[in-house]
Amino acid sequence: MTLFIASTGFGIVVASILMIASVGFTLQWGVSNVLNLAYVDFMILTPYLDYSLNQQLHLDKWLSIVLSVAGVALASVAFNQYLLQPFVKRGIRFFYLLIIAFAAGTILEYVILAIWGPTFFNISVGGNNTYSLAGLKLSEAQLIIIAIAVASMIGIHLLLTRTDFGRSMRAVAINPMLAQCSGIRTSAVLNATWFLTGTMCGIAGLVLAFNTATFDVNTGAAFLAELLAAVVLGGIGSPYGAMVGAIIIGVVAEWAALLIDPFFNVVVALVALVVTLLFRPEGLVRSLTSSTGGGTA
Amino acid sequence: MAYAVTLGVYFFTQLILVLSANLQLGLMGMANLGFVLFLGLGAYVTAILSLGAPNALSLQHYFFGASLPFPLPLLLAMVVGAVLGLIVGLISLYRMRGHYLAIVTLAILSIVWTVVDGFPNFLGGENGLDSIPQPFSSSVTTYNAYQWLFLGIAAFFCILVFWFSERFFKSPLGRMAKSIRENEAAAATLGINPFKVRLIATVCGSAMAALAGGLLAEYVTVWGMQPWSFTEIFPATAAMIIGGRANNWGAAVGTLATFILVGQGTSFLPGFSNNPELSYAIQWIIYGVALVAFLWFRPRGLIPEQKSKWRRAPAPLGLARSR
Amino acid sequence: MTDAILSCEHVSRSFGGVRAVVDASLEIERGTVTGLIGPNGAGKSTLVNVISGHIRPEDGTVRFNGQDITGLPPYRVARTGLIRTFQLSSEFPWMTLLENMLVAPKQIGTSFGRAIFNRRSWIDEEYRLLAKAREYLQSFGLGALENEYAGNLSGGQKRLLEIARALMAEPEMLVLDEPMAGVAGVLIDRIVDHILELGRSGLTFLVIEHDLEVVDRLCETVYAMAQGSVLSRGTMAELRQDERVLEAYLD
Repeated sequence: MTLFIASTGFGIVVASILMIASVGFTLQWGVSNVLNLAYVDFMILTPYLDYSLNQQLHLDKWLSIVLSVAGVALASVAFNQYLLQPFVKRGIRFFYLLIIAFAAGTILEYVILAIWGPTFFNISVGGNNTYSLAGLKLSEAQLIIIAIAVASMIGIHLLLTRTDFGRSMRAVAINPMLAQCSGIRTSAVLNATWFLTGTMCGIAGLVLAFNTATFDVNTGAAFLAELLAAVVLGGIGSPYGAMVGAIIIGVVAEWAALLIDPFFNVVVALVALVVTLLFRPEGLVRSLTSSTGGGTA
Repeated sequence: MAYAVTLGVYFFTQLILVLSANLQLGLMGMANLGFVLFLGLGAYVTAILSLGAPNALSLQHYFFGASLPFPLPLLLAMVVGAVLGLIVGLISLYRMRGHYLAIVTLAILSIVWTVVDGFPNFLGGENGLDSIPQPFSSSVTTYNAYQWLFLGIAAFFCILVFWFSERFFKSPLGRMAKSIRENEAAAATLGINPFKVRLIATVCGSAMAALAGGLLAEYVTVWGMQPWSFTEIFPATAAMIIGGRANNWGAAVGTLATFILVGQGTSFLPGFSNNPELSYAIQWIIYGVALVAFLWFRPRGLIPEQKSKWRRAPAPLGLARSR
Repeated sequence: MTDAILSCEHVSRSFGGVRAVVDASLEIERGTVTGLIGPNGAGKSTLVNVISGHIRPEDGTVRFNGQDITGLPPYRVARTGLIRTFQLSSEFPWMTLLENMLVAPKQIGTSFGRAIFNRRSWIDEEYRLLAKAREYLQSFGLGALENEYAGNLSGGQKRLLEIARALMAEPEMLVLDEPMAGVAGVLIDRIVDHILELGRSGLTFLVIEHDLEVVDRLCETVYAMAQGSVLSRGTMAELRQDERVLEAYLD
C-alpha cells in the first residue's frame, strides 16, 4: 500500500511536468495547427543550456535558468517562423510538415550530442529534505516542481481569460481568417504564442531534468509518448483538457509501472493514446477550437 | 568490389522499403508513418522461421521457431506482414485521417517496439537475434561468391516488387487510389470506396516492407531494435520525397541518392571514417537540409509523378454515344 | 401518377441547436430538370448532403428508384446511379482531365487481382472508355486540354469537367450543387445548353442555383426552401407570385 501511495506521489510529480509540457504543446497545435514533433527535443535542450551557463560558465543559478528558458523560447519562435510557417503558407500536405518537424527534432538531438557529447548530466534544485504530505513522501525538488506547475497553470488561465492576448490566441485558434479580418494581427499572435509555449517547453524541460538523477537526449525523446497521450486525451488545442489529460496519464502511467512492469508507463500511455484516438478523438474536454486536426488522410 | 556488391544489396533491400512507402504515402497519400513496423516484423518472422526452435544451449530467446528452407521464411514473413497490415488498417483507417492517422500508426509502432524491447523472451529483446541462417549458405561457401548470390536474390525480389508496384500504379486501381488522395469526397461521390482501396494499399505496402526486413535480416544475419525504430522512418520517407513521390523510378533514384550516396558517402569524407556518431549526425543534417530544400524548391521530387499515357492510336471519332 | 425517381419524405437534421432541415419532403419526376432555390442558410446543401449520403438524417427517408438509400455512405449512393457535384470545385487537381474522366466509370480493372495480374482483361475496356472520355471532353469544349492537370483549369472549365466526369459514371440522375457558381457568362450558356440536351435524352437533374434566371431557363419544376423547410413547389413563374417565397427572399 505504501508503495502504491508513493507511486501516486511520483505520479503527481510526473503529472506536473506533463502539465506544463502538454499545455504548451497543445496550444502550439491548436493555434498554429502544427504537430511539433521536435517539441521534446527543444525541451531537453533547456537543461543542457542551463548546465553550460551555470556549471561551465558559472553564471548565477537563476540567471542561467532564465537565459536557458528564454533561449529555447526564442529558438521555438524562430523554428516556427522560419521553417514551419513558410511551408504552411504554401499549403504542403500536412504529413510532410510532420516529417520536417520530426527531422528537425532529430537533427537537434544530434547537434546536442555533437556539442555536449553522449555523457549524462545533472542539474538539480532544492535541498535534500523530504516532506510528508498525507502519506506521500516528496523531496524538496519535487515540491518545487509541483509548485511551478500549479503557478504556471494559474498563469495560463489568467492569460487566456483576462488578457487581450489570450483572447486573440483563442480567436486565431478557432478561425484564423476570421481573426485576421477582425483586426487581429495573426502573425504577431503566432509569434507571441510560440514564445509563450516555447517558454513552457523550456520550463518543462528543466523540471524534467530536475526530477531525474541524470539526463541525456533520450530523456526527452522518451517523454513524447506520455506527452502525446496527455494532449490527445485532453483534446487537441484545449489547455484545460491538457491539464486533465496530464493528471490522468501521469498518475495512471506510474501505477502501471508499479503494478505491471517498470517500462510499462510508456506502453500504457501509448495504449491510452490509441484508444482515445479510436473512440473519442476529440478528447475528454471540449476544446477551445473547432478544428479536427487538419489535413486529409 | 566486394564493397560495391554490399552496397548493391542494401540498395535493393532499401528500395523495396521505399517502394512500400511510395505506395502508401505517395500514391495513396495516407499518413501511414509507422510503416517501418512491418520492416521489423518481417525481419523477426524470417529470423524465427529459419533459426529453428530455441534451445537451452543458444543464448537467444524467442518464441516458436522453425527451420524452413529458403524462400519460405521470406514468403511467410510477407504473409504475416499482410495480415498484420490488414489488422492495423482495419483499426486505424476506418475513421482516421490526417494527424490522427499519423499519430496512431506511430503509436502502434512504438507500442510494438517497446513491447519487443521489454520482453527478452519474445523476440530477443534488446539483444536481438543473431546467427540468422542465410539462404544457400551451405552450397555456396566462398565469401565472394555468396555476396554475388545474395545480390542476385535481392535484385530478384526487388525487381518483382518494382514490377508489382508499376502494375498497381498504372492500373485503374492505381488511378482510383490517386483520386482518393486528390479529393476523397469527390471520389466517393463517383462510387469509389475509399476505405477498401486504402486497406488494399496498406496490406500490399506492409507485405513489401516485411519482405525488405526479411531480406535484410538474412543478409546481415543479425537483427535488433535499431533498424526498425522511429528514426528509420525518416530516411525512407526522404528518399521517396526527394526522388519523386508516387513515381517508382523516382523512388529508385531517391534511394540511390539518400541511402547510398549520402548514407555510405559520408563515411568516406576525411575525418569521419573513425567517428560513426559524427558521420551519422552529418548524414542526418544532409537529409534534413536536402528534404527541406526539395520540399521548398521542387516538392514533386527529382522524377515527378507522371501523367497517364495511352499508347494505342486514338479510336475514330463518331462512336455512337452510349447514354 | 408521376414516376418519381427520387423522393425525400419528412427529412430532418439539426446541428447542435440549429435546425438545418425541418420535415423536408420532395419528389423529383424522372426525366425532368428540377430546381431547388432558397436564400443562404435555407438548408438546400444540407438536404442535398442527406440525399447523397454525406450526412445522416435524424428523421425521414430518401428513396431512389424505389430503393431506400437513407443513410447509405456516399459511395453506395453513387453506385445506385445518383451522382452529385459540389459547390466548391472538386476536380482531382494533380490528375489530367482524361485521368479525371476515367476515374468515374465502373471498370473491370479496378479489382485487385485483375489490375495487377490480368491486364489483358481490362485493357480493351480502358481504351473504349478513353474514346468515350475524349468525346465528352470534346463536346464540352475541353478536348484540347485533355492532358492538362485539372487543377490548372479556370473555374468555369472545372465545372464543365465535373459534369463531364459525372456523366462518365452513367448516372440516372445528377444533382448539381450550384453549377454556375464562379462561372463566367459565356460558359453559363454552354452549361445550360448541355444540361437541357442531356435532359432531353432522359437524364434527370436536380439543380441548386441562386441565379433565378438560369433556374427559369433550365427547370420546369422548382422547389423553394427557407429556414430548413420546403416552402413551395411550382414553375418559376408560379413561385414568383407565391407570397411565402417572396417573404423568404425579401427578408
